Amino acid sequence: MLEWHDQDDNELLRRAKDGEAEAFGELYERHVNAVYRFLYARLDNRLDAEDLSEEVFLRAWNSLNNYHERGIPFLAFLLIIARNVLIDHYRRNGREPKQVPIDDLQLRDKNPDPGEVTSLNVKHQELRQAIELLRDDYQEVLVLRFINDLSPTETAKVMKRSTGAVRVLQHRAIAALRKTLEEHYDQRIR
Amino acid sequence: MTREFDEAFHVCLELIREGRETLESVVARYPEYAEELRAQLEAVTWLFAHKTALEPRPGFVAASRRRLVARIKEGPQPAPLTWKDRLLQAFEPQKVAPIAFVAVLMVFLFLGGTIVTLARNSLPGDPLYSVKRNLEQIALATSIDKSRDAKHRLQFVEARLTEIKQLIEKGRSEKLQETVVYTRV
Repeated sequence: MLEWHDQDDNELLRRAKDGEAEAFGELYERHVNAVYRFLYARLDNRLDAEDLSEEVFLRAWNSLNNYHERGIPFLAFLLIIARNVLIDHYRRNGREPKQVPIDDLQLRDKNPDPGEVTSLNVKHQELRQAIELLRDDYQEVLVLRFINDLSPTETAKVMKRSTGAVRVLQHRAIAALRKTLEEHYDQRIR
Repeated sequence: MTREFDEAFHVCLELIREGRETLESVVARYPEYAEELRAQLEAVTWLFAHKTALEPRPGFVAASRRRLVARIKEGPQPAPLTWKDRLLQAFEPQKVAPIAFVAVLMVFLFLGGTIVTLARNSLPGDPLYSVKRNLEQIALATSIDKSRDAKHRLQFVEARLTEIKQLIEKGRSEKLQETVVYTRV
């Protein structure tokens, strides 16, 4: 039996381009967390992040033949698609936060720990409230650099800017975040 | 933001991210930037602390992987790669471009060298003779001093005399008059 986890991304991509859905499934498992984090940091509820993560990969599957490595890692390719999916989502639904009851969030979860769930939701809300006050490009650079742990060069590829521009933008975004945290959450920053 | 500050920030960031040092200890390495570094690193560590809230629910990845694979199998399969797609993937333009540039340059140099060599051996009336004459004119125009200019002129008169001899040997006397005129360099 073929062990997918032994294959590197390039081999999986080659197989996926030849139509092997299972190879693409392995790529999904490797990269979905990063895509999910990117989306959930910019969305108000988990279910949207889950649905949109799957949509990102479906779009990636449909445009797989347009992906030639050309110095762009596959994750950067996925995050470029995720940006577009997010923009489409905002266009369809606006940016008004949709509060989802905690119970609803756990419908698909078999063993939810209520204490942990509440703590995570509070943290998520804190993060959302702090970064949604920032400009879009500030939000994006912060999420890519410090939530997705992309390098400045990889971030530049996703944002279609130069590495130097990303470095400058990143420092401005951090300063803006710092200001927001001081104004709204001073007791929580340290 | 200076380059030095940016470098200091990234060193501190990596040390904190890898858990090798605390915020206070990394800031102490750069007393000249301490205040600004602390402010930025506090904001970033606040983000790090909130990352845990962004992980998918347990079971989501495995379940959604199965769902995605099923949807892919049900849906239309992507068009098979054409020979053009495969060629593009095998020879990505960005990687091939520098090699192609060097190859084209070498072809030009080879062709140029061949033409110059053939032109040097040409006689009046040959297709490449005008190239030979133009190269001589360029050599004269670019002579850096009078002695070199005189040396060139002498060489070219000798070349004309050799050409006259070769024309006579080959029985191409119709070009002799023209070649004699060319000796007046």
